[in-house]
Amino acid sequence: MAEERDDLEGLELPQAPDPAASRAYREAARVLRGAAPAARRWCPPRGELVLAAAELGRERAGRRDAHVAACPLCRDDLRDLGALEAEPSPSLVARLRATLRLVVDEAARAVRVIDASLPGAPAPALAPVRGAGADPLAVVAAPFGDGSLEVAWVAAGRGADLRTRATGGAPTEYRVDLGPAPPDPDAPDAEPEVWESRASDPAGAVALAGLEPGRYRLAVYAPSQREPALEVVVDLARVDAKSM
Amino acid sequence: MTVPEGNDDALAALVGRARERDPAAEAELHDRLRPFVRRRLEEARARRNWFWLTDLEEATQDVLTSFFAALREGKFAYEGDQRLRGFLVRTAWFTAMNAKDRAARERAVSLFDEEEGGLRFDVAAFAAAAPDDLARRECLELLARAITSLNENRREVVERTLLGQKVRDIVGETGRTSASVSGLKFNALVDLRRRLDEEGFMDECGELFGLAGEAASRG
Repeated sequence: MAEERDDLEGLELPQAPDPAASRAYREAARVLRGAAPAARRWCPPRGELVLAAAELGRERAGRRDAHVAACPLCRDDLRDLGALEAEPSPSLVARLRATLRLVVDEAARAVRVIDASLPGAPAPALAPVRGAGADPLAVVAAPFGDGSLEVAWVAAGRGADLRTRATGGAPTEYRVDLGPAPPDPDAPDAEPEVWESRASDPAGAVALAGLEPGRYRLAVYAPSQREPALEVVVDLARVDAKSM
Repeated sequence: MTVPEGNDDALAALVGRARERDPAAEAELHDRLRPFVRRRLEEARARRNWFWLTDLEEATQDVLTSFFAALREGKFAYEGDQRLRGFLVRTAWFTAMNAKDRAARERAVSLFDEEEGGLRFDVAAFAAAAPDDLARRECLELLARAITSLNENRREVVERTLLGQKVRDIVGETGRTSASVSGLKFNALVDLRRRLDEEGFMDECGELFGLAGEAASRG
């Protein structure tokens, strides 16, 4: 049998074992395969795992519970069920993808939005902030959780500083990854490169300073999410007095 | 017509029409339920790292197919939105577990329990909790006794093998060399085979494990 040949082939032994020992090995291996939890021969039907004790009968429920306590695979299955039963995180837009073109006007010390694509989001708003030492900034917002994530750009020298802020009912706990934009925005990398990864502060804000002109991928992850809730391909250009 | 959220009577009526195979009702109910199912699968997949659930859309469709089949066969009766969601979650679980089973052949079970910490497999407890068939439970208990009578190193490698770990997995988790694990495993299983004879396992249980006749009597 193929499995029996494989049993010994996977071993790195200094010399070929004698036939009797080989046979003993194979027979023990066969017993272990048959007894293995992964064979699920000893597990109750899955439907039984989730029945209430009253439905199953006390004795059978007791045996079922004892088995679950001893069987790593059945416990794994029940944890999977728990994950399905858990209420999802505040409703997130799964993998909302957007593009954003910005230009930094170095002379005016301002950032302007040239083009933005945020399906379902409010129209991009330029929200100049007047205050001591504050520079004009460009703000876009995207749905995030039960609120919005504001993404603000502030002119800083030749480039811009990036600030994100959770507003409304958006989760204040999230992570921002910044890296190079994928070559083809319609075919993003399976494992995109990340240059900077920042967790939000208690107030739900992230700051990334000194972004030079270039193309970036900005990804925002909510807690327990392995896929980003928001991805933005940012094209940050620079306009100086000479080019104008 | 779209059933407003929270309108229980309207939803009950919609489910009723879908059960009678009204195409428009089926389509509407399908569209109504799909986001919920997909969301639950998506979240659970992320929380539990269901790397084996590679096609979320297909899994979502499988769940809904099972739901509609159950509806038509009278295995589900509408008793409120809460119960409907609960039934969908259970159905999603069965669908996901089927996908996990298909991928199981490629995976070994880790001995380390991320949530509980530490080694999590007790072969004696596993044997004692085997299902109702007394003969099968006794066989597992005989095996467990033989395993626990091994020395510590041999017992560990046998338990890891029992959980599906290959030599390379054991090497990775224990830090031993491949030659060391190979030798340990070989000697452990030969030793185990001898102890199974001593426990009377081969006579009582050989047939159950495909070792009847010649192998069982050889000892």
